[in-house]
Amino acid sequence: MNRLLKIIAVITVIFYGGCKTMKEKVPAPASAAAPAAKDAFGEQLSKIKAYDFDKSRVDLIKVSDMIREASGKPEMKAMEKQLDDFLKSDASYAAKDFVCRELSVAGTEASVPALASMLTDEKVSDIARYALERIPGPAVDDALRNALRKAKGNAKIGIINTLGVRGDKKAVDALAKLTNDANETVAVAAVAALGRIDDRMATIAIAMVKDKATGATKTAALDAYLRCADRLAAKGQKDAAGAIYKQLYAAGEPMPIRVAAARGMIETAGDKTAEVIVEMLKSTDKPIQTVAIATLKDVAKTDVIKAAAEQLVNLEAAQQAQLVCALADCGDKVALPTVLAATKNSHDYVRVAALRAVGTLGDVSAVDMLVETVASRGGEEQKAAQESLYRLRGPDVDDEILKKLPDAEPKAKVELVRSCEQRNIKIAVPVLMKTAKDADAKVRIESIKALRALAGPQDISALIELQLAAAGNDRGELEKTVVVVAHKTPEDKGQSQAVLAALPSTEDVEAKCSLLSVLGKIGDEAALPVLRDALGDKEDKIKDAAVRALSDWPTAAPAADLLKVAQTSENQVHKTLALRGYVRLAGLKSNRPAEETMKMYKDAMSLAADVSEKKMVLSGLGSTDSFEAMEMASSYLDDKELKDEAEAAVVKIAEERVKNSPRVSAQTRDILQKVIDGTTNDSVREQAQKLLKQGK
Amino acid sequence: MPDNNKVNRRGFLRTAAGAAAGAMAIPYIVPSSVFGADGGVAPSNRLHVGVIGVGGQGTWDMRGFLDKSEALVVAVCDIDVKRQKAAKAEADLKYGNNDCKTYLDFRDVIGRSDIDIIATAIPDHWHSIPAIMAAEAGKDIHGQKPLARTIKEGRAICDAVKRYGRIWQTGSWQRSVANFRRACELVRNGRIGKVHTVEVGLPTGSTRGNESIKPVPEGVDWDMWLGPAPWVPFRGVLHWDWRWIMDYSGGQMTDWAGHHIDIAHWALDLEHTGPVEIEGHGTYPKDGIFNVPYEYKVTTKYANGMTMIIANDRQLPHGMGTCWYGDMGWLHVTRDEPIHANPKSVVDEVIGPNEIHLYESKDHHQNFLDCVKSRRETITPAEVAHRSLTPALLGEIAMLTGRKLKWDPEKEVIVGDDEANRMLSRPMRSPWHLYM
Repeated sequence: MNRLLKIIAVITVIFYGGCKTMKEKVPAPASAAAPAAKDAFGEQLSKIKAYDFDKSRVDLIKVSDMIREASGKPEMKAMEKQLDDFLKSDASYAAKDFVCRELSVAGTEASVPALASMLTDEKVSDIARYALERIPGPAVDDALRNALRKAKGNAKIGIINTLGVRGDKKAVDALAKLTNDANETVAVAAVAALGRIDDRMATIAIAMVKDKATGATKTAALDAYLRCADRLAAKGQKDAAGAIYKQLYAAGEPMPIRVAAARGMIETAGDKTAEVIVEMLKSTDKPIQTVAIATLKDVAKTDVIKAAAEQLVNLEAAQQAQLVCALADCGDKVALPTVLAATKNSHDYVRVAALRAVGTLGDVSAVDMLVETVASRGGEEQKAAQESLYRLRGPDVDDEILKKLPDAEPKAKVELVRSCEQRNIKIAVPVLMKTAKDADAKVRIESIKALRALAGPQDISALIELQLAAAGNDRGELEKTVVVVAHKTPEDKGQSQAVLAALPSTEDVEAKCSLLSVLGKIGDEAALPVLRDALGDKEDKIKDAAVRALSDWPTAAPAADLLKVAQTSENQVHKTLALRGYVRLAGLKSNRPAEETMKMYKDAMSLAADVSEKKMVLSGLGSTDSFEAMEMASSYLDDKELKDEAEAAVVKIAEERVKNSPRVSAQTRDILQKVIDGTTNDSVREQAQKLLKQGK
Repeated sequence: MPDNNKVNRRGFLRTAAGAAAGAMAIPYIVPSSVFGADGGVAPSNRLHVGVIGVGGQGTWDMRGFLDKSEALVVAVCDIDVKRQKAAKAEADLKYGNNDCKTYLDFRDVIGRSDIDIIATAIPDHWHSIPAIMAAEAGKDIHGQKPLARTIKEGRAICDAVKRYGRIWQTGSWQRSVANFRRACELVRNGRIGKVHTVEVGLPTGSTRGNESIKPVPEGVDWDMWLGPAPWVPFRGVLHWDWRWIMDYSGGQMTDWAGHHIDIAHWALDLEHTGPVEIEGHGTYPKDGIFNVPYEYKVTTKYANGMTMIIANDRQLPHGMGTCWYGDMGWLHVTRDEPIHANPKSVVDEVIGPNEIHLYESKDHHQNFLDCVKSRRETITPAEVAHRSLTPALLGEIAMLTGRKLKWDPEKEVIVGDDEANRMLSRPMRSPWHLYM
């Protein structure tokens, strides 16, 4: 194949290029102003004569750069002449292709003779057209029309296409004749080209073809006629456009054409738009009904929307659902009564569409209906009503929700509380403080969750009161809420201040533990001394809460305290909790030296009382980016009980290290090789092998 | 040298005629899974899908439809027989039958009157023709981004989709991810104040040496692969690596425009307009088969005075993604990362019901199927895709000409630069043209 192509190329070059060269005259200097530039350009051009697609592009790029540099300057004229001469030379196809691309941007009418001479040759017609199609000026159109008479096959089709792209009005007669061509591809191209020419005679020619043509030519004519109508409509000639659309809307035309024409009719109907849409909604052809519905949003006139909405009851369920969606998209409240009525439709999907539409079109009057639907229905209907309740617009909707909330039935109350959260009703906080103590557990929990989003630092004392008074699940949820709200206070303004203030007066041990737990999660430094003191409390429960709170701390600040508990406590539970907390804190991001982190893990390992605790230490060690950590993990590779965790830790550490620096030391290689040799886990082996390959 | 007799003229005509003459398959029955509660869809109510281009992206899209109970993939098409077979095998395995048909020529798929939806995932230079043909044939279309290879082709797609009343969804799936929508809503609702600058970070490109001319692999229709692009011999670039060659793509910048520029526009309500000034600089390979810039930086200005900088990730402080800078702070969003903002509290802000809420889609392919049934606009309609791509395509022209361009987003012309305007479209190799 390759060889054959080359032979064809050589023959073409000899025949085509050679003949042209013999006829050429020696070109006179085009510009005496820049002979040096011209010579340099000529020299560069000569380097690309034998260019082929598999060769270096370095010299092509130099030519491009020179052309770009000369753009708009006097020397470009002479350079363009050289490019034209190049096309007549025995240069390769690939080189001429390149030059044509350059001329497509930099060329002028001066290049037309050279390019036009290539148009009728099927082998180079496309590349010549690539340039000509983009070059402005009537000389190009003349050349294309002249070539059209002589060209054959794909060259002819290409010329037709280009005349269409250029919108050449003088080509209309010739193209109109070609719509009858025996070759249907030529006829189709001619019709399509006529459709691109903004000319009355072109439109008339297409109208005639559409009536008498068949098959692909007819299809192309119908499309071209539509494009003519669109162009007329865009120019404001709506009557002329409307007349074409009406012809194409006729019952005998293919449905895609009728649908497109229907859209055009609606858009050009002016004062009669409502009438046209209603007529289409009454059509027995569902695609016509559907396009009328889909076009409604583009029209967006109140009288049209109202007229369309009135037709809803006459449509089948699927089109009812489509129309409800379209009415919502129009955003005109004139459709609200229709949409509200549709929420009671006998088809579930129409009801769901209507409930969603209420969210867009509805107002305060819809609150009751939506709340009732959420509370009484399930599935998609419930979800749709819920979403609409959250989206309902208007300044009085929030007030209405708050008004209804205190006396609502529990199911409705839950939805109203959720609406407060979703709608971000900040003034709902006092009401929610009350519903957080509601008799119904679900109402209480939803209220506490809503307070998490809506309450601010000013509400924290009231929330702590609720926390201390609550029990069970409520207290747990309130603890989370207090932490979230405390974090809304700026860091330098004492995030734990209110909790610390409540602590001395709290005597109940469980309540005290709850406050300590909150302090650990807030992580404000002011609370550290209090938690440290609590480690020495006489009550085991308080000690327990203090260990847990320090284990939750967001930095490694209480690490030494936890280590001490793990080393010295007589309570095994506290020892275990403290060790876990200590390992967690060792794994947090920190600026301390790597040796200190290693010491923390070594201390932890020395305190680990059983296999599970040792595994926990190795797991933490895996997130430490140091060779010492890898070395420590590798020391457990021979331990049957800890082998898996040790392998995982080694690979994890190595991965991080390779990511940061691809150089892998000999010691690391040895450790990874040991993992590869000893592991029974395929995934670990593959990871280790991959790391060895990656590391240089 | 090109062999211009290779185009199958017979097939060309047969399908062109068949497509428009066929029955129009608008789904009149709206299954309950769309608006209702049950979710079950009878086979007769399924939307029939034909997938054109079943490489990596096309197969991903096909799987998106295979996973939906209301869609039925009935046809797969590719110029590579191997890929056809693999896609068919996957569809047949899913449905437990042997019904999925394979095609080499996309016109044969569009010509099937029983197909409702055409999904295309083909090289960029091929995006416009099948899309326009599918619209003319009354199909709804899921088209991969970028919308088209040139601005004029993109406009032609938009016009055809509108003319024929079709539903279009571009594969700009980031809009269907909660994180991106949330970031856009925060910016749209003024949480970082008035935006003066937006940075769009896209991937860096790559280079490759020159390639020898090679035999076309068995089962591949090379002439069809080239389609409207200028003829060149096969040099081993077929799947994916076409992305780096200007005849077929504008590289990473135009490819990813449909993601992060799209998101930038969405947040700023600029989806229906474009920049007014564009300048840029690209670093192009000095040799080799690839010729799109691997490093690029384009600066655009909008009519409201805002600046958008589009660059490969290495040249921007936040790397990949979209970062808006306002007079009250900044906000950055990208894939697989939480939203970052300054001040941090912006991230937790609640958008109230009386504020702007953007179109919500939780599942990109599902949104398309829902819209096919409801006839609503999808989350990524053609016009939006066209406007998302335009800054990148203009950036490409600015880099190629080395000039600052002035753009009229209304008329879609470059003001006062004849040479640059020529690059708004590309001549097509015969016999291909936009309105087949």
